[in-house]
Amino acid sequence: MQILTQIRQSILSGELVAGESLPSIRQLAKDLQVSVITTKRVYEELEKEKLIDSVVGKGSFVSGANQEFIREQRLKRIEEKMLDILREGKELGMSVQDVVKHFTLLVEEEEA
Amino acid sequence: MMNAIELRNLSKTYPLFKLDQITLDIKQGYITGLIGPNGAGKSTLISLITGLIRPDSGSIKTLGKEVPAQEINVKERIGIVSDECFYYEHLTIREMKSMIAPFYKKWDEKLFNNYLEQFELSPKKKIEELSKGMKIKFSLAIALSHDAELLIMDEPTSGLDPVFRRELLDLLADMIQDETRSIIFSTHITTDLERIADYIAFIHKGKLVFNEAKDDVLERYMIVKGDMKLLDADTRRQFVGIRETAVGFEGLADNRAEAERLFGNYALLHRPSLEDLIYFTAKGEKHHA
Amino acid sequence: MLNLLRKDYIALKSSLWAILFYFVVFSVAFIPTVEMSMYFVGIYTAFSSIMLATMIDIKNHNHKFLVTLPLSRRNIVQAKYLSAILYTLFGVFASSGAHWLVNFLFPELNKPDLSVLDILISVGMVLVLISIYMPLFYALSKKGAGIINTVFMIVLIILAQPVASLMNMAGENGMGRASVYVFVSVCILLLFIASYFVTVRLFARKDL
Repeated sequence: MQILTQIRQSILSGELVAGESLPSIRQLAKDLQVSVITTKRVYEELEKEKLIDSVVGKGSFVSGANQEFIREQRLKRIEEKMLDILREGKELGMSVQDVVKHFTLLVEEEEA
Repeated sequence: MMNAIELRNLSKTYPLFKLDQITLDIKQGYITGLIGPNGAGKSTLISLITGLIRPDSGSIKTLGKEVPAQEINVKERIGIVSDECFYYEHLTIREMKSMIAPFYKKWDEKLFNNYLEQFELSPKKKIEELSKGMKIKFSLAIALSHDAELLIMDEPTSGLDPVFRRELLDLLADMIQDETRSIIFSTHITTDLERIADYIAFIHKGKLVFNEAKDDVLERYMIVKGDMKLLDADTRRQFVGIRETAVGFEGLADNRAEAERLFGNYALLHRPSLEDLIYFTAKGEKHHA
Repeated sequence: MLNLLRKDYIALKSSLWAILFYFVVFSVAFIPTVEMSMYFVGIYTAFSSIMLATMIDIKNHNHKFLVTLPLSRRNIVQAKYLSAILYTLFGVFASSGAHWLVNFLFPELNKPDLSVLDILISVGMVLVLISIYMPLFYALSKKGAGIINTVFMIVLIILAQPVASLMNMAGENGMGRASVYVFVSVCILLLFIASYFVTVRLFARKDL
């Protein structure tokens, strides 16, 4: 879901700093003109991923997770993307070696 | 008080139409959209809730109180906006307001005037001089000026221009910032609800089809567009309704996982809109009739 | 209650001229021509005003509007009966006032002297009319209410002569002892109250 991805991205990239407060779910719903339940679920998901903390009565804040944790999260993202690429390649009939070879080729082209 | 409105086995019979045993909870703190094709019973349901008509059987509890037993108390705390506004045509806005305001203990004159300004309504204008859209804006100004906890809206957007419709969404979102406020919004222009509705109650032929979180509903169903040869007696069962043309079919499946499994690689699949739900449900009924 | 009466006042402000117009027309029509004109002017003015008020309600789908306000159906009926009483008093007293003036300025018309009895009889007759009219008005739909109004107007016109003769006869024979008056008054009051309860009952269950 777009909103989820966007906020997650902002946190992982450091755009949203640890401890920074996020708008309330209702405020966010209003700003984005989406339903309250949507933003509620986004925050719940982010909380599950330990990217934000919600304090009853105070609101939601970017979690004070350390760099290591964020790096882990981003690594997880990359891994998911990698698996995606392998899967797509498989559907095209490429073997794992083919994919890696192709990847290397692209990198060489980039560097040239 | 967790539910803004509680309907239990509500029924109303007319010669050609019947609202049948509707049991429905409208959750407090959210925007619930009431959708369905014309003639499905939305207006009847709203009229029953506002007390305009009386049920044949069943009960209605609004803001925790039984109606009609405690309707005075309830009406203090609700605002009603309808596309059928019944005001005295020969009176001005100001005169209508002076007629209405004293009825409400929590009337906020300043707030009302702010709304008039925001909606660009002149207090001196006569009701008969107002366009339909302006009448609805006036209704809205009144409904929002006495600290209403529940806003009941029956087709409020049909006379409004796209600019104000967006403004309306903002106004509603503002109201809902307070978790004790609730809104129920009956309409057949579902694009408005598409964005901000939290829950959707779908009424069809006098029966409640579902009352669920909008996101859940839209994720449960799936639009499948594909070649006619994909349809056989078995696969047809997946669909609530199908539209067949010379170049293929378009159908609404009510089980997303199944649809993906059966049609995933052979057809175009995407999330339905609320309008799709209404259209295909109505279409499906016609098929079986 | 006050709010409802205020509402009626605001709604009818522009039609008050119509009520005065009726009053003048009836006065001019009946005073010179009919001996018992005090009754006619009073009753007709009162009842026409009431019908005018209810017609404005119908024209503006008043009940559909009132239902959105913090009111019970009973409140609405209460206010209607109360204002009907007010119109009655207005009609009868205006008529009395007019007749007193006429007696003063145009003694040649030889109008009978006004008595408290005359006033009471006028009020009583209007109350009876109201008692029959109100439940019918509230029970019926918009079209039905329009028909009722027409019917009542016709009935009032038709019954004018026979009732006048009846009252003449009664006046000549004397209505008898005071107990008869008391009995009739009580009956009228009971009828009025019964009518109110019937109307509340009918209106409470009505689909608008």
